[in-house]
Amino acid sequence: MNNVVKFSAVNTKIQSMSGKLLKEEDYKKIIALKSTREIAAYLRDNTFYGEFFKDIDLSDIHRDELERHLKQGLISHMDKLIHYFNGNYRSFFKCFYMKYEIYDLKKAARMIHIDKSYSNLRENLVFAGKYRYIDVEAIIKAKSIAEIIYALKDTVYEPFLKNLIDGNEKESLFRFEMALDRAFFSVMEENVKKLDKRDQSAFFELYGSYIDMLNLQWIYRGKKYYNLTPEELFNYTINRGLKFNYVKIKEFCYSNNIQDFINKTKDTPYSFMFKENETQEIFMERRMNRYMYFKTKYAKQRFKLDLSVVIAYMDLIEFEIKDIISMIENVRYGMNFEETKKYLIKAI
Amino acid sequence: MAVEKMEMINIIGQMDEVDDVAKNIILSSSVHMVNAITEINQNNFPILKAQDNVDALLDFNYIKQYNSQKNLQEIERKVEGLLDIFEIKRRVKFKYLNEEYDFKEDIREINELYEVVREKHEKVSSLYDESKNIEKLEQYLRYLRHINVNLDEVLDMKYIKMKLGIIPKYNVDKLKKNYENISAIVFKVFSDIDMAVVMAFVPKPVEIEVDRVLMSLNFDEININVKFKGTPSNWIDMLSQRKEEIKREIHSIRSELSEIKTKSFKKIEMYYSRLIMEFKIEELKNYIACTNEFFYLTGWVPFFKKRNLMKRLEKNHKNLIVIFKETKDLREGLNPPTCLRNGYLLTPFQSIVKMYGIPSYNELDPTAFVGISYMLLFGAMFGDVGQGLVLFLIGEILNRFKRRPNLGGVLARLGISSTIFGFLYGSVFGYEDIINALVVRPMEDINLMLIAAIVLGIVLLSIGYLYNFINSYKRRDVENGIFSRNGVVGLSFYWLILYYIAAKVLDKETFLPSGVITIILIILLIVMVLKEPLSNLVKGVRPLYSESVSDYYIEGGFGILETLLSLLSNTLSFIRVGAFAINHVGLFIAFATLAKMMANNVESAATMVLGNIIIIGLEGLIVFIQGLRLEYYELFSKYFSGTGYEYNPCCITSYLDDIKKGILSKITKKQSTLVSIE
Repeated sequence: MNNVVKFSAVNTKIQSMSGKLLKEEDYKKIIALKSTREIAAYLRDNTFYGEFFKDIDLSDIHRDELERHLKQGLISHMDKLIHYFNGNYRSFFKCFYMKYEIYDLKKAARMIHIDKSYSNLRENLVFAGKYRYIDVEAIIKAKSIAEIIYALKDTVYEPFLKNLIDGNEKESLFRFEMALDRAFFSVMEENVKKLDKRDQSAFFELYGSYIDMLNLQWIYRGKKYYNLTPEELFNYTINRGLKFNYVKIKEFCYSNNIQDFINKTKDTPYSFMFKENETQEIFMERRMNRYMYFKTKYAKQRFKLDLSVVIAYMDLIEFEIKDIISMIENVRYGMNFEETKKYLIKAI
Repeated sequence: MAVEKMEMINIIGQMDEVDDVAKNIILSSSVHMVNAITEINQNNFPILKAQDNVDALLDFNYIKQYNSQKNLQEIERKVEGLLDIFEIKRRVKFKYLNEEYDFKEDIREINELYEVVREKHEKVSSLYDESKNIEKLEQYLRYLRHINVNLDEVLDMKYIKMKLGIIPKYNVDKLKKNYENISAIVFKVFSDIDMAVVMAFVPKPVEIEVDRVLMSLNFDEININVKFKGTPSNWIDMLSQRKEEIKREIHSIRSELSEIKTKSFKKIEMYYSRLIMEFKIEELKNYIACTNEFFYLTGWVPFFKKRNLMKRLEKNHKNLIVIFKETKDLREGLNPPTCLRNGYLLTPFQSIVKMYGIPSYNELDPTAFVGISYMLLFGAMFGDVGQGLVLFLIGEILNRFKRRPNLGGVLARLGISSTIFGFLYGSVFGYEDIINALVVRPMEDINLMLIAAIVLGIVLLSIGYLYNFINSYKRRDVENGIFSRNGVVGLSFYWLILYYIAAKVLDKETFLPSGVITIILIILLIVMVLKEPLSNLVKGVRPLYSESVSDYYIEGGFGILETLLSLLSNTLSFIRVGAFAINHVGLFIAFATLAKMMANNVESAATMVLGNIIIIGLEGLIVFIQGLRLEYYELFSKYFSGTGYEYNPCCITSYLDDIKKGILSKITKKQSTLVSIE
């Protein structure tokens, strides 16, 4: 099928939906607000997120709850857009459900592993089961990461996770997250292979950078905090990055120490990740996201008739929700405008 | 034949009796539970009438929601385990519940039985596992069959360790690309699309490092925990021998188990029934309030079940305080649940009513009207002796063997009605030459059929109006009962206009001059437009309009148009009854013609059978739906609001899952309220 036929409808839909994205104006107003409740009220009255919590009593709304409703917004976008695809494109697009499902699983794992809080797991699993069947009941009963992995038996994730069970407790969260990412990208890769050449390259042009950055972050953390062997580092990296082939990745993995590794990244486009000052760790995630933000924004503005617009749009929505969540957090910590700005993905 | 009268029951009793009282209430299956704490908080619990038991009053200030401490999960797991091991169907038998028993005693017995069985069962499953492992190992060894080396010697090497396992395909690449850095020798012995079987030789001193690397490749290693001598093919032979042994062992334990099963089959069924009862008791206790010594329980009981319940409670419990309250004594806003009771003929039609909505407590139960009119409509559209009997049979089969009492019951009754109309139309499986028509053959008098259908419609619609009058009267709803288009005014308008049209068509004198009739009609229309201010005037309510006046009249203006249109369309809608009666014959004629075109008798007989099947299946379905449409759209919208909720007594259903789900959902609800409070 011709790309004009395939994408003109969905791209138009996206164009109209983007009208509802938050403007810079909205960001400034939200930052100026004083409490979670006020932010919730603002979102309800002024943005399209309102439709997901219009019937809810906002007087004692908690950040977690608001976050959940925002995520429902994300799902509703997916649900709207998925009707524009069929066949291989549909199953490719469905991978985004998997992406969000993985967010949920990571969140659940973090709650279990770090906070040891088991009581409101159920509420936090917004996306779970959207992609393929997962046994939510079993997951909320889990008391450790190993038990989550047992609960994920017979799912797409199992082959990636099952070897983690006998791994040590200390590293399990880190490995769990990495293994899930890898599961996502390998399922994604399988699905991308079935698309047209043009759309494949559109996908890798955007997500390739993401893969690159994830690999760099992985190697960095693995080296710095977990002392993994280079072989292990290499085996967990994700294939099909944009700028690095496996030779390059191997070179990173086999660098002698952290400094050596950072020096090797100096002449790549991703040197911004390692600024070698005290903000390096805190802002690494945000810097990666902001890099992707500009990239996706550009891709959306370019408005090519291929997959890039959809992928970019889904990412933009996701970034926006992340931003709203950070703004809520910042309001809670009483940060001022300048301070808050630093934590946002969108540059304002 | 109506909505049953309800009374509220309040029970106060001593805490140590609570389980027994709960059990009796469940067995009587007559109480629709209401949360006692809410009622007490609303000051609705008639505590002051319980003056003869002052202790119960004294405690009243420390009242709280009952919190279950009983942990049934452990015992449930065991009973479930027993049921699974012995493959016993999950069925509740009431005879075990009506006996006097102590569940604690049962728990002890269950534990004993479970211990005995578990040992054997675990043995079986471990043997199963072993045989599975052997099969897996056999498969691996088959890849190595051609190697003529003693496997035991390879495994026993002192400085080098051999590993055998699977690597997923996408990791094989990774391994290849990093070969130079791995301190082991890795062979690929077999590969297909998604995995590769590899054999690795690892020097013992670096085993840990290599293990970690292999782990990161999702290496799935097979543990070789048996030891034989010889080459891989020798091993395979020995493994099959071992497999045979295991099979025999499993068989012998199985027969032991089945002996136990015959011995304790009845007991397990009993345990299961009683376990279900325990679950139900816990569910019921969620509704009660309690202090340290007393419990308080509230619920709704239909009047006709009250005696039975009281007998049961009085027989077993002497110290209970039971207080009944009639609905008229109760606080505002507390609506009783609706319990429908109808005779044998009409009961299945309740499901049709419920599909639309449950009548509220103060509403007429439309089931009788729906049942009779639906049977009439269906029979008139689908009148055939043979096909009707077929439908009747299908309905009975569904009812008796497939446990679909509602669908089956409705279908069977419709079948009977169809048979009766078949005699009136003189049609048997479509053939009109077998019996004589008692009334009319639809195809021969089309006009009569269509007109009769409309007359039937007018009668049914008028009855619908009557229902609305009664419902409105019960609600004291002047606007809807008198002035609206479904009220007295509407009905007068409807009949007058019908009379006027009939007189004009038949060219007869009207009892009033037609000018006067026209004026009356217009006045009635205006009254309908003014329904809200008029009814407010009558009731003395101010302001007259609940919305802005201009909006009201704009809406009212269009309302007139809609009233006229819907009167016309609602009436004409019934023409389909006649049309389908004719269509029924028409469809048969088509098949009869096809049958005549066939070469021989066998083929034409086959065509007729096929035709009848299609008529019963397809046309039966269409007529079923059309009848439903007439009921719901043309009639229910006139008089039925369906805003009640169903009477749902606390009783035992045969399936554990439903009950467990109920309890689970309640627990999660509780938790989520707790979370939101935080």
